[in-house]
Amino acid sequence: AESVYHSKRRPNLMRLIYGDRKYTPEQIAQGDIEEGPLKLSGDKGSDSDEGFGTGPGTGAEDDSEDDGDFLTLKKEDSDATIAQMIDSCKSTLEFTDLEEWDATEAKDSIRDRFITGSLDV
Amino acid sequence: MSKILKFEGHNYFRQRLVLATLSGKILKIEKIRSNDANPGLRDFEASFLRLLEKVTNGATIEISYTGTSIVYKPGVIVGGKVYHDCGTSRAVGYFLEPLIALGPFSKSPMNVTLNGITNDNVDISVDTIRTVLLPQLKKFGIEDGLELDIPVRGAAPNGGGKVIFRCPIVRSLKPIQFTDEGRIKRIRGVAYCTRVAPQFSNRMVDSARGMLDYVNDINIAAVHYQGDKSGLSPGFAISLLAKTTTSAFYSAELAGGPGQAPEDVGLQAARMLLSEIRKGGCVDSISQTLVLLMMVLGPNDVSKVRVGELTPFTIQYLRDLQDFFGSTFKITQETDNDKVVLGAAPDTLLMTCVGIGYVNTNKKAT
Repeated sequence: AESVYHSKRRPNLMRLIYGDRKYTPEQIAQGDIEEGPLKLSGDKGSDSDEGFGTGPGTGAEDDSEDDGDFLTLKKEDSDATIAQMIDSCKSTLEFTDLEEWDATEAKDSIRDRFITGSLDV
Repeated sequence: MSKILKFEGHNYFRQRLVLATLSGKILKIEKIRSNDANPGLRDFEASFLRLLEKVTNGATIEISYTGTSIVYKPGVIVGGKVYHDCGTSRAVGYFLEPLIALGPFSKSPMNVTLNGITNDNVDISVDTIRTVLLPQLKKFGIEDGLELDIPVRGAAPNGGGKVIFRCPIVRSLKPIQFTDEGRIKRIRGVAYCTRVAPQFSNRMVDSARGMLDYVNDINIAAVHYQGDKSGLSPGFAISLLAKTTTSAFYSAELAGGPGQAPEDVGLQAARMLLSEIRKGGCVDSISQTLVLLMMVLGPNDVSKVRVGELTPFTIQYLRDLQDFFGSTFKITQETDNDKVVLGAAPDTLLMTCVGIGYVNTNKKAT
């Protein structure tokens, strides 16, 4: 199912980025894309402030899956998060996601990216 | 008379000014925090505009009375010896990052001294700029004399650090073909501390090493800055870098705050590095924007690079690159079977573009 999802989504990436620009960069990066029309204004370059403003609004529209969670969470600590996200190419620090690296499976999953990993494919 | 490009909002402020400077297009930014309780430009943004005035000649910046809109008419990049106090609202990285993009196209080589906070968790630290961003430029043919000295450290909140950035000028860039990410062969890093116990650096290094036991070739320098090299506030931070057989870099960094144990900082930084490695690609998320910009500015030839997941910042950057230079990237996901089996990041993207043939006319052809 995941591969189907990706094969559907990826070819659209150019269209999402360069197309009518109705999604904010954050939505594209999160894969938070709904096929239905959104109410975001699509004019050039306006997806900064307004994007954040309408973010929670779109969250109310698509209460499916965990994407809604992400957007409501953003609303709660809005100012702090936005301040972190503006104008720094350093992505926001997500400490909770990092715990997964304590598991052996996670550590093994990237072992072949190192020269010490197995070479047989 | 070139067309005026209009943008709204305070986000992506620096990149738009930099792209306007490089492209020579007039830029208007409106609605800068117009709905905020404290509208208009922040002090660090004003400070960045002042820095931009120092490294260019003939630029005019008109700021509206309320500070919520600016019109920027770029001049020529002159470079030379510049001093700038970055203040303490944002770290030195905020100011240095755009300078790296402008430096190679300046009239005379840049020699910029910046004062302020060298490491924090908002902007890229000077260590990462030195070890990751600058080596990226080398792939485009910017090599001799490109350096960043860090004589004095400065942690938040009071800063007091000092860095010296020197950048050579080039006439034009080389195109790059960088699609083989290779395998990681070594891990490097810098852990520094100022005005805390000297052991802090070693403690960060030990915990980070424990997490990164994939290769033997790990060398994380533990440095303790003392006396007049230590800035005005206590602080400690670690910057990590994984280098592959094909010279791709992955980086992660973290600064410690009051009350944090150095072990935790080292461990978190190491985990962040693992996350970055899993994303894959030949360019890590911090250098995505710089590499893409240099690809656009390259000669009229095809440049190709493999990147990991695009960050929101990069996506907006792609849009802005299109607005300023009319360049679009071809973005393809390569389903290379080998890679999938290898357990390498399956989500890497191939970014292809044709450079606009940007030429720095100040540099004579040799």
